Amino acid sequence: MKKKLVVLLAALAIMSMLLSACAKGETPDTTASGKPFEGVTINVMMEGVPDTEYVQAQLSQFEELTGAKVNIEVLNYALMHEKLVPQLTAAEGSGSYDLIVVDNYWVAEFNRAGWLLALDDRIASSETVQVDQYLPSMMEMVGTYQGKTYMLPFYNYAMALVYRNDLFTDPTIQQEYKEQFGKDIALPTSIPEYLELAKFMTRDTDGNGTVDFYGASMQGLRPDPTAMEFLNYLYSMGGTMYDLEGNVTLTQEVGVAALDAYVEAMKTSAPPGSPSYGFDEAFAIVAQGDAFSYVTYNWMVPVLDDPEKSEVVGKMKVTAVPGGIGLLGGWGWAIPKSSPNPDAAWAFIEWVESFNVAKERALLGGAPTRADVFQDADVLAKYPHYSDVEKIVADSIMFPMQSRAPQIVEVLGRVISETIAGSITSEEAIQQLITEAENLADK
Amino acid sequence: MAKSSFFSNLPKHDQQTARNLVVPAMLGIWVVVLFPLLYALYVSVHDWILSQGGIGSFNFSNYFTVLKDPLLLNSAKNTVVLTISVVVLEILIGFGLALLLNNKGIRLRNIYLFILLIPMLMPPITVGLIWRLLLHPELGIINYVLSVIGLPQPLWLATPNLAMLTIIIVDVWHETAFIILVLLAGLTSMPEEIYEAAIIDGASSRQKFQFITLPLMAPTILVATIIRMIAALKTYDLVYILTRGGPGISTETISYYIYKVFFVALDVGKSSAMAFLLLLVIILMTFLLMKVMQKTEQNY
Repeated sequence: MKKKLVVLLAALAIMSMLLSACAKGETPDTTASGKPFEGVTINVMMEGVPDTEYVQAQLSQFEELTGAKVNIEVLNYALMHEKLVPQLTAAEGSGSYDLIVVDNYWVAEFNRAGWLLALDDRIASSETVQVDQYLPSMMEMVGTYQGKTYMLPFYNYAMALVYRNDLFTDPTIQQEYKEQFGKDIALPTSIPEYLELAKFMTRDTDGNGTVDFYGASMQGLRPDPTAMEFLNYLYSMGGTMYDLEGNVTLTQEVGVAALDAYVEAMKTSAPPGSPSYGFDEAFAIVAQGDAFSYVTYNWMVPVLDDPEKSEVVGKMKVTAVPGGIGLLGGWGWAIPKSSPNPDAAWAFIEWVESFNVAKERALLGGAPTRADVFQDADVLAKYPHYSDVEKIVADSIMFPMQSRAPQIVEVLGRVISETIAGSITSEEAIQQLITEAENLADK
Repeated sequence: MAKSSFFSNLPKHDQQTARNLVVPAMLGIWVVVLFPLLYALYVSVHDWILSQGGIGSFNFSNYFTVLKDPLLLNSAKNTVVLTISVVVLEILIGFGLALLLNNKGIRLRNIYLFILLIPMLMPPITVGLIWRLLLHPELGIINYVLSVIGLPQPLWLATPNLAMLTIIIVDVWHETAFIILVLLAGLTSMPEEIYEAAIIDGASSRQKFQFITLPLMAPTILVATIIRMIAALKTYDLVYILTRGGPGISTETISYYIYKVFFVALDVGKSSAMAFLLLLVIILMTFLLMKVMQKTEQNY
């Protein structure tokens, strides 16, 4: 009996050692191959977007270089936050993810909760990563938080106006516009001008009495698709949500004007189903050639130029959101405190953010964050519009750096959706938004 | 008086073995069900927003605060509409189809049954995504077919009054298969002799249904109703995929709202209080339905 007990205890001890080895991360074995992370698996959570696909295409280089295996779990954006939070609250070294990508509006939340590792020491001793290589607006948004560096910018998703250049330069349409408005057609420089152009472009192309081509493809789905889209209208019309000290700066006057303009665009120039459209549906309308323009991420141009995904190849161009100031968005690489392999994760960041790898990603269609990649001759030769995009990224305004930003997006999405549905007025919506923004502000 | 236990009818030497065998299962239940439940009860009376630091002070008023939340009350109203609609429709349609499939003479019966059960095999997320594509106003096949035959093409998910009806239709499509399966099992196990006696007594088909099938099936129907009702009260996946609670707040259900208070606002205290209130409602409704079931059985 005693013998059995000893065997049982020994088996339990071995099992617990094995389990704790799994939980604490694997020890690098450099003896056999000389590769620093041979036998280590780096688990990463990422969103299913083009830039993630480009990283996946590059992975074999890192694996060859270091011996580590990189396991990227690709998720739909809507699922990421709820899956990340329980992992981030795990004890130090015992989470499931070694490395994560952080959306800009989770930055204050994650850092206020103390879930991310500060990277300053690692950056200081790094030969490949220097923070001044990044555009300042990107570092401010997905790099630093209250003076410390917790992330390195991965890709930008500054929003811009993507439009059909073939139609914009079509002499027949130009003539028609001149006859109707008594002036030459031009890219809109304000939201009212954009509404006018979008309405003009909305039409029945096959003469069956039904509108089948829309001036604007829009995404009214709650919460983030509509909230992100609306903020471009707000910023372009001179509004903001908070100042840098976290005081609410949204005013009834500008807020209502921007919301009225947004709802008007959706009702007069967007497909009728737009109040329920998310990103994919709005994209599909543009890719099928059924819309003139789309306020969206600047990196949609390479995607819309892909013949496998689009019927408008070579027809799209990008410009700043009418009014000049759109919403800046971006993701940053970060190592959670719960990361079982922070050293391997940092080695991956150093590699993935090195100039050559970042440039290669940009050439594949990725959205740069480093100034030297934006200005690289090869990159500009392939994507001449990146010089415009660099300016858009520099001029855009990020989502407020508030620790309860996901809830602010939720409230924003709700009041916009209720206004579109007609259950509240734009005045009531903005009043609710101001009240909630004050309640949710970091104190 | 000797205290009776679960094992008192076993021989004495087997009682200890039985206890030993049950202990791991009991421990498992404690660890995965009771402990989280009790912990949730504990946090439901505390202030705790996950991103703002650790668990805060005791605050029983969480329960009163959430009951005054107009968005929770709106989602409760939507949940009641959704639950009553889907349970009634699914029981009516499911019972009708189960009666048809119970007819042994029907040709290709198993093939019909298999086809009808396919929706049940799909996860709700898949169902939501398929229907979202089917219902797309510009690119979906449903509005295309409606346009071909000259009917109006509704904005299924973009119209506030229609979006809830759309969710109900999709839920009925998905969940009726479960009702068919349960009720068909009940119908199949009914004794033939009673029907034979009724035929000898000259009972009509309507009388057989009214006085034999319905009373004997009542407990099965009630069980199916309870299971579906509990599931419908917790509807989350379809709303999440199809509408995210929109347009406006017209399709926001309680479970979806609680999910957002927890995972988006990270308000552990209030979301736990809401979850406990929902649990109470579900327990109460289940209890009431079981009482009705007992009464129904007594009446027959």
